[in-house]
Amino acid sequence: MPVFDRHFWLIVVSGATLGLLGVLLAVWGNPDNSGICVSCFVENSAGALGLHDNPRMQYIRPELIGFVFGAILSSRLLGEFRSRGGSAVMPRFFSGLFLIVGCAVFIGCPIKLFLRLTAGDLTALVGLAGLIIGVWFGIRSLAAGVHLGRSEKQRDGSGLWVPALFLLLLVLVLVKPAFVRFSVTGSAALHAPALISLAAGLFLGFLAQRSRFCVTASIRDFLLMGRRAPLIWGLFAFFIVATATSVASGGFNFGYYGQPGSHHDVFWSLLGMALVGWLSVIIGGCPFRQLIKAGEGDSDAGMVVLGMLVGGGVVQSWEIAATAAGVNSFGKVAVLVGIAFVIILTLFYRERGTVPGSAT
Amino acid sequence: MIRDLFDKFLLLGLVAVAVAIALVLGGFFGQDDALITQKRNPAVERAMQEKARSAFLLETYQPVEHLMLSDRHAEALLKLQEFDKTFPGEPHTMILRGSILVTQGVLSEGLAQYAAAVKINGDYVDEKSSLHRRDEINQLVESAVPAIRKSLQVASTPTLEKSLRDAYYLQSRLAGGCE
Repeated sequence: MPVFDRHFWLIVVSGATLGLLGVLLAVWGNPDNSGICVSCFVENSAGALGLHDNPRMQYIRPELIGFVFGAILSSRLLGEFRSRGGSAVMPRFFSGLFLIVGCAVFIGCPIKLFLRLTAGDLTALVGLAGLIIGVWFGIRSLAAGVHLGRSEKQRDGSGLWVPALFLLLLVLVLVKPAFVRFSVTGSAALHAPALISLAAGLFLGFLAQRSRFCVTASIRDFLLMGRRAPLIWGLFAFFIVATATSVASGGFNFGYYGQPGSHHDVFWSLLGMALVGWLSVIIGGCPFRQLIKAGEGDSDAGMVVLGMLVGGGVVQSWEIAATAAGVNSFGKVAVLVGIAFVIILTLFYRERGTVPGSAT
Repeated sequence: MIRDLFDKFLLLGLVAVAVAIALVLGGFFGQDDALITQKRNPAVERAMQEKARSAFLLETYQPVEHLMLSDRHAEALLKLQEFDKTFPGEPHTMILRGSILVTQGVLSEGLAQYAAAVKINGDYVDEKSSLHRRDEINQLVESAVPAIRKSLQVASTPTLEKSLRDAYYLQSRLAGGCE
């Protein structure tokens, strides 16, 4: 069992709050089962900025801004904001892009995967299996000596560029200049009031920075340490609270068919989430965690976030994103290219000769 | 951070740039065409295009809807064939054809037409769109799914399986999600 200290309870509270607000944001206006979905939100925001022209997916999601700013606030208050980076910058950028590819093929990030599960969507079980498999491969890669390099302390201010980008996004949300696009139909037209979304994002970003909560890290730590891992209890709290809130709000619909934002191409769902799990372990966090780290001044995570934004544009423009009709050929090829990318990354960044049994 | 004269000079330059941006946005250097939108406002344009498209479709296909209301389904289908030539791939043709086929009891083909239309244009299941046919599609799915499942228990055919997939697809789109 874990140590029931202050940090443990912080993790549990973070997980529970994420589950609660994840469901409530859908009740307050976000798409069903997508109260919080980093990948969907990134695709929406990319569309609003003109990175793709799907008219149904264009809206700057204030939740993303809140996550980053909440992390900045928390890290600044507690002296944890540190400009750092310089580790495998371009691979991280492309990792961010392929994180979104994997999520887009599944239709959801790891947080949305659990929100779908807690809403009774059985199609998400395959995604969960894929995520666990991917995390396992990630752990094996780390054990085999894969290492992207240590993040170095950077000069003052370098960790502020990505937060500055999100500040610009906030200005665009508030000012609404003509060049920013806002969907009038489609899922991007469904959103909670901007201030509520921003506030929820701020609160969650603050908590997540303090607790270091991350969905893929929870699974990783559980596979490594079992029930002693505090993070898995946070995920457990997320699951319980989100399920209860789904049932209480009437959003619980148990079944395999007719679920919002889901498809039945099980193999590709599994592969998409496996890609996300594997990449997340290698780069040190799921898409949500990357936003939080970017808010702490980590410019390596910032590069992942930029890659995610570009990925959000690419998956829509190139028709990679899956729909309720399933995964098309572009999506299938994109996931396979992503798998090839992570394999190549693993090969190139494996420190050889330092691990027992490795090639010299 | 400010160590010497050069740093002060840089800081002054930064302040000057910030002031210049504020002045440009405030119109001090004259009302720039970009600020008063030389092009038409894209958001307004998109809303107008959306409304114009809906109005165009509803007006253009009105003869077909009139024939459908008069139960002259065969003539309506012939009219839709003409529209296939004029507007190939237009989802509105598909959705009206689907409606007629379902009325005539050709469920499989009807479902296929509805699904094809919604795949191309999700507005048919979007409450915010003037083109939406949520109630009609919802009723169709609610009656079709149990009927097809019952038929599949008797004999499984590729046509029935496809129809069930189409029905589930429509069910999923009605439920919502990120598309």
